Amino acid sequence: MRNALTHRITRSRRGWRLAAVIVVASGVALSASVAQGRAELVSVPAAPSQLSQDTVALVTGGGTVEVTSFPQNILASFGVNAKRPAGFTGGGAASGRINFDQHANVPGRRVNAPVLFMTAALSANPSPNGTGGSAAMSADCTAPTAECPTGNASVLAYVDDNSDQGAGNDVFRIFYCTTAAAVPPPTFNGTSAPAGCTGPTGGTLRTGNIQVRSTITGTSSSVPTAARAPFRVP
Amino acid sequence: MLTKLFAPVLATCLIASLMLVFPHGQAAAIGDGNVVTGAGAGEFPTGATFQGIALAGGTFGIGLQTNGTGTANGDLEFQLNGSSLIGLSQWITVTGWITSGTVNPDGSVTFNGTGTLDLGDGTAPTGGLAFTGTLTTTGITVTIGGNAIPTLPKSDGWTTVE
Repeated sequence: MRNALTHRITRSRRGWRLAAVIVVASGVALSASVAQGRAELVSVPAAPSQLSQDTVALVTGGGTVEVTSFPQNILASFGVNAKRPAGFTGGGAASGRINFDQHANVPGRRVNAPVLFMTAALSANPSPNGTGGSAAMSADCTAPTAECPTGNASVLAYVDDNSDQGAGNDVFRIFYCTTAAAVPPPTFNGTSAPAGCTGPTGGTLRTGNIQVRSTITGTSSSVPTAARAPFRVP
Repeated sequence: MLTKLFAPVLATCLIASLMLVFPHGQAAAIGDGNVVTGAGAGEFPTGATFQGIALAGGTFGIGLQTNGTGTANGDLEFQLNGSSLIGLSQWITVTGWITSGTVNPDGSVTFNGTGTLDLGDGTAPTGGLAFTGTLTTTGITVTIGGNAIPTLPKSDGWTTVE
């Protein structure tokens, strides 16, 4: 025969078990964002917060920018990639590559360097495709096969993903640095060159697109029609 | 009875806690796959045309990341410089969102997605076109909306598959 007190304790524990099961089931059934009360808006991306070396982000981009030059501006193509390495827990490490090719016969017109560090900020209001944000990537010009303008030890590329329609909205800027590749300074926002660097070169995209996102999804549910390209650079 | 229930309930709670603590998608941003980067230019062989436009040269920029299962994210910009039938300079621009990509055994990269074709003749760009392309160390080939663009041999710039 069961003791009355034991019976009461068992019955009360039954209630707690039931509550625990409900909590667990809710956690499993709801996505993390819903469970944490986060809303995924589909409006135009807002200006991201300060870049962080700990933000998990993935950057891809390809396009053209106009480089200010005399006597006439130069058209330049870029390709950019950056992502966090496996096992990333923070600290700014990244991998990827920066390619930049100015289409004119000017000295130091090409960049091909591996990305070693990145800071990033994801937009609080990502686009319908789940992209938006900013990133700064530091690439090593001293790596084997790397190519940069003479005298530079690293380059720093800054990108803004302001719109799914990249041309006329997104930004690609590159800075040339005599200092070694390093985590971009926390105050760096892509507008002025940090210590040891010169620039920027580039600016708002003439054509192409940049995507800053947190994951490879493979889905682009609503790919917009790209903006009409401006007429040729002189 | 309580002892039997304790372990599975604790394990479930632990899993649920991890789901709640880590933002969804965070783990997927880290890991294997290929990184394909390129920016360059080239000259088309004599006689190359697209949509009736005689092509002289082109430039490209591409950033693509695959996850090893065919899924990918990336961006392509491909510009063709040519002359219209009446001899006017015409720049044709292809802009694409890459949604799948594969690195082939020979080192080339095949990618697919949805893009925009801007003929550069003053007409509005056409969006929502399926495109496919192949990038090699020697050039780039793109077909958009079923229209094949002649392969642009790369004579300047870089393409890297890592």
